[in-house]
Amino acid sequence: MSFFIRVWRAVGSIHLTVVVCFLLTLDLAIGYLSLRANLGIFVPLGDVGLFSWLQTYGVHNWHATAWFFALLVLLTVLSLNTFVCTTDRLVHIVKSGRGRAGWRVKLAPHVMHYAVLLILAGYVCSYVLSSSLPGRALRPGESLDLPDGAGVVTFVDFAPEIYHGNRLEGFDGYVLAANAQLVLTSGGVRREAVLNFNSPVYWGGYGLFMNDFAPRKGRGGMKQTFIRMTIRRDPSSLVYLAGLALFVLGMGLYVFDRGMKR
Amino acid sequence: MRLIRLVFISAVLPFLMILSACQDEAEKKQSFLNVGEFAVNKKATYIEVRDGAGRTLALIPRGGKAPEGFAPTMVVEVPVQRVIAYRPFEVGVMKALGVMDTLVGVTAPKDKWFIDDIRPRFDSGQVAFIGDYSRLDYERIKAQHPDLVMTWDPSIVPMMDSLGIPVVVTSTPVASCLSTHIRFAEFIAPFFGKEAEAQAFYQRIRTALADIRERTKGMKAPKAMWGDIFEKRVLVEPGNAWVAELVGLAQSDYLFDDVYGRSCIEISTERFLYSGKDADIYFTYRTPARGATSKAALARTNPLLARVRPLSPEGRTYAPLPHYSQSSDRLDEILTEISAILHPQAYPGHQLKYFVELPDTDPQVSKD
Repeated sequence: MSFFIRVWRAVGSIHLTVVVCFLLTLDLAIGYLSLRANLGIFVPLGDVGLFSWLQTYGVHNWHATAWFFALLVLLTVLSLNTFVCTTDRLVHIVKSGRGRAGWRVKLAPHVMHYAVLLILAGYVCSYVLSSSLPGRALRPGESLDLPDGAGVVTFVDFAPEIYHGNRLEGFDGYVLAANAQLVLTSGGVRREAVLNFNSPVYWGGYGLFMNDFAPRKGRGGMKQTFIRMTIRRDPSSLVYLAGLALFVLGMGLYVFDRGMKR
Repeated sequence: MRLIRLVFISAVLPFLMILSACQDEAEKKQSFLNVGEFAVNKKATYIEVRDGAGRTLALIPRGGKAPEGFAPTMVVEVPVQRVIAYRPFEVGVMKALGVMDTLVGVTAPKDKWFIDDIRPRFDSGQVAFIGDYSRLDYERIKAQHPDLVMTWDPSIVPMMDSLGIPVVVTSTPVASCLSTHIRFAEFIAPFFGKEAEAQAFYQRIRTALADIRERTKGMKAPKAMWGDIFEKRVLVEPGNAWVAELVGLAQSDYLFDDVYGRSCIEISTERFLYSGKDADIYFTYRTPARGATSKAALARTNPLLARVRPLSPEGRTYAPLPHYSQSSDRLDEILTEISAILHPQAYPGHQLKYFVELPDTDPQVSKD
């Protein structure tokens, strides 16, 4: 048996899966406690990029981040293990099942496994390849240029949705949705968009994510009128979305398989 | 056996490789400092700092060349010579660093200051009241020619950008933990070139914390709460705030330990009263000047408050004195005082300097 085959079989071993899953559970339990106590160390991970974060916050706060280093390694091992195991099984199904009716639906779990690997790869690419400009604030009427001449974003004003009622008395008159009205321009193209929490706007290859806004009260409150955004470029989001699409395909095959068995 | 070897090769080796890659960055590690979400990263020609809003600023020597990729208002020439500070906390830290002569503007008028050094600076015209945070006087700010504005309010950033004044946001979306609170001086020190002073300040506080830990070891844990019921809202210090961590460090139970979020976070009245029935010690936000002169006076401001145990004769209630929030240069003394309030038996003869214990009722004033 060649060295390559021995390594391939060992990497795809179910025993390895069990050991890694056990270690992952242990590591994530430690991570849960560490995150609770040291959230501030991990918040910049979303802005500064994985390698930069590992070299600064990660190494500097070794006691609080060791579990994260271990998590990266364990996820890598689990991904390799899943890939080998799934590929072995896939080859077996294709070889033994081809020609029989409905053999394709047996691929469902393996398609979903590949999808999860793709989603994980998307996350890794996102941490490695994405760039982020946090804390960009605008007042009504002000504009900012996106990097590399990708376009201009102008904050026009709010069209807020305000809570009125006495069910939550303390929140009467507070803004439920800011509805920040944006005008986006690039190379003569103009588009209007509405920005909210959990409702980002994409323009010129960049995503605009709302971090904060004021006033929070319908009748002004005491702060200046502004929105604060993070501008993010994440080319790997396509990988992640492709993974999700593949997962949906796998789910569809799985449901189809159940239907056939019935 | 093969499996163990495989796990070793696939898990431990990459781990060691990452470590060794990080060892190559040993120099970077030495020059990097993070204080909670704040960070200071020393580069070859400038210092990169990340503020509480996640903005990255470049600190360059005065007259130096600005690095590429930074907008003009994201570049600060250091040491800064003219500073506007929003919070008394920053003013206190500036005092600890010995840079009070750089302060040129604050958001509280002269009669609201109770610490040395400030009032004479108002009189000499060096320090100006730039308006309340909700009604800033931008003309006055411009006239003070600040090199830097230190603010908790990110909403002023666009306006300051248009005035060409760099801003550093000194608060984070969630409350500062104890470590961030006591090390904050290390974050602002590079703006003033006072890293050594910040280290000395931090060491003084660490010594105080070690003393607190030692003195309170093994003591029976009292239950403490920190917050207030106001006219329309109930605000408390969450479990992730520095006061909550300090209470825990001083062998005590903080009753809002499960609440997470920003400082002065809103909770329901029912939650406040539920914890209040078990509490031994209560810290109110109000100073005596704002009505916290006695337990009875506090209960008059909101009758619901009378239901919390510390407002009854068997509990203890403390109010901060006006200079408490302006004395961050004496943070070691403040931490020690809070510990002394929690465990008076561990600090025999301790005289309160920053808090006052409220009597059951206001003293009767003779009409004569």
